[in-house]
Amino acid sequence: MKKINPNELVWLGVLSGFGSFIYYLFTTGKIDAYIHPRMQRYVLVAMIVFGILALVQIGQIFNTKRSTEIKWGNFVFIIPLLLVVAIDPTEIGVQALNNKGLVIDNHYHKEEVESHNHNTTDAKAFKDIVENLAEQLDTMAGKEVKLTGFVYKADASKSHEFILARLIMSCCAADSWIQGIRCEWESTNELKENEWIEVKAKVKYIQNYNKETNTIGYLPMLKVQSIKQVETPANPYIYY
Amino acid sequence: MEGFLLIFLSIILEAIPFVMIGALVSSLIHLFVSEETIAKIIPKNKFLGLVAGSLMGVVFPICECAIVPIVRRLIKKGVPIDIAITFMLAVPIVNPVVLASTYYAFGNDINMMALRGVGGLVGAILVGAIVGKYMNSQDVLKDEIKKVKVKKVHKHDTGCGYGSQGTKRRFKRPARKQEKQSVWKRMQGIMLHTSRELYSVGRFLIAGAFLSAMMQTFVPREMILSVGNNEISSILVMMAMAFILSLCSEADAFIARTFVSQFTTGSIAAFLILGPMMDIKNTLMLSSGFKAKFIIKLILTICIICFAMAMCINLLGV
Repeated sequence: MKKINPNELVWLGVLSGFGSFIYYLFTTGKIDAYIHPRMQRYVLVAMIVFGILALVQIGQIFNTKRSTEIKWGNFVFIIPLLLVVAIDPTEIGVQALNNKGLVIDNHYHKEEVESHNHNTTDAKAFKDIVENLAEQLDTMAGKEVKLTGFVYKADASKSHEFILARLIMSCCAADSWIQGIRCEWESTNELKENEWIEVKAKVKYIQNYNKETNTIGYLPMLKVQSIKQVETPANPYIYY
Repeated sequence: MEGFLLIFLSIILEAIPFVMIGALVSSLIHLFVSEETIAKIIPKNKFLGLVAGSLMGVVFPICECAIVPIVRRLIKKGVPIDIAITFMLAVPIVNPVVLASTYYAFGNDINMMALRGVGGLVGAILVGAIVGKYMNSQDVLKDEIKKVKVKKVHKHDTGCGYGSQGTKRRFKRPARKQEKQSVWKRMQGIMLHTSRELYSVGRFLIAGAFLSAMMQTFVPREMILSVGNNEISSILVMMAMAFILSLCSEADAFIARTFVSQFTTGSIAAFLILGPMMDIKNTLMLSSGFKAKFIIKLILTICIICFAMAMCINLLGV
């Protein structure tokens, strides 16, 4: 009976563990919450490589020529796998993103067409409206828009204002952020934080005084006409 | 907690394919490129060598996760430290993929892309030259790694450097040369080596991702931003952000864009230049092979150069 080298066995477990974890993410679709669809093919390749490395590793578990002293480095790889088994995260949660910042009035560009394909219709609509508001506020003013997002109250003291927000991802969950549009609505108090809604609104703009440059600029604002509650979408992200 | 874990895992998932590429390339260099070849390729002229090293990214577009194992291997193979460091710092910035994404992120504005490209190039060459002048190649790598190298020398013919599996084979067929090994055995050797390399760098990637995710989830961004936004402190804050966030250099421009309204141009350039050169994730990955003293000196040099360049940009008002 050959002797087993525990280190090599653990490493085999790590390789196949990571491979299975990625496989699990893809089969359940949870990968969308981790990585931008554009980047997912690389992760898929990584899964295959993990598989190959694991196969090669099988031949190593009886290799007692290599040190059989316990290698603590292996445990570093086990920790994330254990955490996944214990918690299995599915959504990032606005709370975590709060600490990463909120973006309103960002300058966007439309040229990057490729990533549009990855978005659902309502995500695409949201993205287009944000772009149009940033680029051509004057022609947008007065127009009616319909868009879906969740309620985000950045400043709880404002009872007539909330932010309609979406999660944006440009590469992976670590660089995701909240993109919002200011909305004016009489009964903001009745809206629950994080609640998903569909908003019908008219675009208008408000004046904004910039202290540093001492100029007056215009900011977009949606005058909300009606609100309908909707279900939380399966994939809350908009991909850039 | 869920958010933390998601960010933690996403950094690992995002980086691991590229770390694998790095491990594979490093294994291939180890097995197929000899020290002599490398000595022949490298230009004799120091300055020429540095410029060549800094422009490698154009033909070798890899990001900062993949570069660490490759550079570690190159230094072991005898590439001079200044050229290796310049190469390591420049490749994740001066490469078509990263520059294109910067161009897009800033609304097709060529200005920031140019600042980033030129700053990255100049910065990498400067840091490389300074490090090369004051550090000796011997003091760079950890001792145990050098020792492994010595051991490797007489195991080299087995195809797998660390390979004790190789030792066994060598025992049976001592005369067999690498060329005669079957393709399958060779592939196996490459794969095993890649696996070992992945182990030695992966640990630090995971530790780095953990730290970075902690900072991102539990330290409010406002707290960092409120430190101030005048000319000097804005640069320091953005450099700290780049270090902490450990973003992929292909994606960081999209994040940098979100700071445009609150921060000076110089500080955003500093974020874009420092991030790919050095961050939590990379520092820890470096510690898989480099001495702590060297890493600290390297980080300090990078920070000083980066800060100086950002100051210039702010003062000139580019």
